[in-house]
Amino acid sequence: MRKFVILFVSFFGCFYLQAQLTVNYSSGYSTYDTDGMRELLRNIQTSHPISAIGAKNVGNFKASNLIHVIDIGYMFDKHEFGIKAGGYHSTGGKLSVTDYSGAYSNLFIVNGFRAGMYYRGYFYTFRKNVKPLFSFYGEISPGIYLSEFKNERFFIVNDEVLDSAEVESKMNSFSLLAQIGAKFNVTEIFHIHTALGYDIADKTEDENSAFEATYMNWSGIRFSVGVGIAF
Amino acid sequence: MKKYYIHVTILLLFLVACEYVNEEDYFVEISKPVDKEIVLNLADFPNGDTLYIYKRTELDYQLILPEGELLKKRFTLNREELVPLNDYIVLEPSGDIPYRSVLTLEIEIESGSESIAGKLGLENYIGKFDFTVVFIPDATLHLENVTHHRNDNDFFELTWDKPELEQYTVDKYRIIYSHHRNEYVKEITDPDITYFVDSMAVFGTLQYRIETFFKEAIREPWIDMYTTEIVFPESSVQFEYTGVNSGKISWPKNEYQSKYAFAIGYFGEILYEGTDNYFEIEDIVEFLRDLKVVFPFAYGSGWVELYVLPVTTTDTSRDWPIHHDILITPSLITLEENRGAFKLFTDRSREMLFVNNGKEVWVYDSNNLLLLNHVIVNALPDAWNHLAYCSEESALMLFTYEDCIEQVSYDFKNHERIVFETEEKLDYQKAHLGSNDVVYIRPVVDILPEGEPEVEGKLYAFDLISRELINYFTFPNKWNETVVSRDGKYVALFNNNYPVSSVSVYQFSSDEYTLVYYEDIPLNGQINENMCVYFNEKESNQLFITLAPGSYSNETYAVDLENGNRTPMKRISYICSDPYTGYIVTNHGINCVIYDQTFTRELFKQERTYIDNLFHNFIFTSSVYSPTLYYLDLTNYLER
Repeated sequence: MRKFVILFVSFFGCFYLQAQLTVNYSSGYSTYDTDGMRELLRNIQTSHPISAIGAKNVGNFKASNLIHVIDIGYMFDKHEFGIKAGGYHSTGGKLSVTDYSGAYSNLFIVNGFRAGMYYRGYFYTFRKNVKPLFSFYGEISPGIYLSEFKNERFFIVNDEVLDSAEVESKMNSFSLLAQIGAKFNVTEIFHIHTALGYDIADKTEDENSAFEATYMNWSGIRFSVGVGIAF
Repeated sequence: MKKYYIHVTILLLFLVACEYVNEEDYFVEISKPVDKEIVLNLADFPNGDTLYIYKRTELDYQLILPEGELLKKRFTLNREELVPLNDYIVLEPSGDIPYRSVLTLEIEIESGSESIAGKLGLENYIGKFDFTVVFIPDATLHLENVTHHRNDNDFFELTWDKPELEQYTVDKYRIIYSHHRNEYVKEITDPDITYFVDSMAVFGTLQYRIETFFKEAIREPWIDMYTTEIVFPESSVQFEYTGVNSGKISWPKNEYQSKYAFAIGYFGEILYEGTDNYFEIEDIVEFLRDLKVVFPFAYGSGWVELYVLPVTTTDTSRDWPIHHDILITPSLITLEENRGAFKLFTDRSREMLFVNNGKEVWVYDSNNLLLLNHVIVNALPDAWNHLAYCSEESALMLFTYEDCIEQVSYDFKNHERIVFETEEKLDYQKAHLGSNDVVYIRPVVDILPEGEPEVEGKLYAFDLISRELINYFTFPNKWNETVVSRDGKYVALFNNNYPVSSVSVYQFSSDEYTLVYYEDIPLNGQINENMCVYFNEKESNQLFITLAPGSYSNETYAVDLENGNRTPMKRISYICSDPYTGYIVTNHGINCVIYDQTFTRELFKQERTYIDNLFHNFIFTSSVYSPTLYYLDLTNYLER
């Protein structure tokens, strides 16, 4: 019942304020700093006994990836704010060597999911027939990264398991995304948009890791293109 | 419910932005190295075996290793590392090592494999060898019960116990011994044979080196020395009479089968060789003469050598063991200690032979030397330089001492001390008892200062029974010597004046002395030459004059007092005569000649023979330096 009351109040508010509810989906490209994890791989690779067995780096923490972002917010006049969910990042690295006598594999996966608030200020709007056709905006989005560190490793020699582990730990870090973008209203409801910015995030260190200096820095460029609806 | 939606949303997002996936593996194509064996030879003991360590032992080891770097070679004993030397390790029992321990050798050789396991060293060639080590520190590491005995064939047999220690497996015995200056080596390859027969081992010091070799390479041979001595005790070689003038020399029969060679004297000629432990002497006198040995055998020349030889040898040399001994002549009396010379005197009528030494008196049958009586006369002084006589008339024995004459009856029941009553002090020690029971005695001759006039000498004659002075005989010089015949019939008076001596013989009667013989005897110029005068013990009218007695230039002749006839000079010295036969014993140096009563015919001639007395054809020898009275029966020889 309380949920219905809240929903009614929201709709009534939006109607009274002449606000629009916007839902945006963006897909884009993001970069991030994986130097820490790469260094971790290098350290492992050069440490004993991994260096002796000649483990090869078969995945070295790719520093860019596609992202998907969903914004849900309210827009009235030149302002839009809401929640921003998305920016799911996933990267990993792996050391591997295998022969008849044994196998070594050490896979690290770091996932980061960003969630936060956003504010957009439309500072320029080109209108056609009074109706806004496209707009430029600036966006500030504070948020947190929900990071997940996974390590799956095994070391088997002569059928004897020397090491085996599947470790998972979760860490959080703050971030602030600043970007500018443009929105093109295809119809009164449907629009497409693009944005380019930079996300500044705290280093996320896996304090539970068995290895030293296991940290991820999700800071990086964010570029996205998406579609949205406003009603 | 709210959490559900969140999860669904995240899942959807994951579906559109998948989590990092990497299924790529780096597979290295490489082949497995061929297995190679590590071989350890630890003193020929198989792996897992038990080693018994009794003393400090060096364990040689050899390793056959595959090619590759030696990564590990580690000997441990009870997990404590041993430091191996080049090619052996040393194990030694000590107080802190457990009785049972574990010896381990771990070897690791790099295989060179490029695989993961190889690079980790998990594909190296590894050898691990374990041995159980039992430490026995107090074991006896030599042959036990090494001994010898005479076997059934009368040979020397050396025996020992077979070693029973663990891992002391006998391979063979080697026995090294020597005889006759030759070394012999005998090897016994059957470990169960624990005896050795040495047919050449018969006598003397026998020494055997027994080397015991073991099949285990780590075992040093045992060296056992066994020494024994097979000897005869001293005085084992005996002479014994088997008849008159025949005898037998015998010695103990040797324990082992052997033969003998007998020689008299040092490096002497071998007189007998055979398997009997004795040999017969058919004619002792000839035996002595041929050998030029001295009678009695033990009187300075009784050194004999008895070779004890293996029966198989034909070689009789001094390299074989020799028993050196003194050939013992049977003695009439042997005292426990030397107490001075024996005094022998005889009663012809009763055929009794008396022997006196100290307080002891032995009485024998003079025909066969059977002991009739032996008495210790405590009344006699313990003197050694006295004279002894017997009275055939009164059956009394007389012993002359410095201050008196002790008289003892033949039955030892009566004893009396005789001191004659005279104004002068008498020299009892030189008293003479004639068979006529008259005691002849001279006063003590005092030494007068130089320049004093000569004093006449006296010879008193006392009756033994009445102790009355019968008469006395005076002569101008008291330094003159007087000799009384056995029967008391004659008194010889002589001096050693240089350059001319003289001998006067007076016949004694109850009231006067009648000169029956006189002779001046020029001495040959040697200041120390002297002369002695004797009467034949049987026929007192036979006078013997010996010039320079005992010297190389000695000369003796006999004078018949009844007719004054003289025998030719003989280069001998008078020693004594037999009261029974009148045979005359003479010598020249150590050579002895016995003449018949005529002093012309040699009855017995023996080089290097000492004779002190001759009674009833028994010769007697004694010495102030020997506690033994030797005798030899010459009856048959002298009567031939």
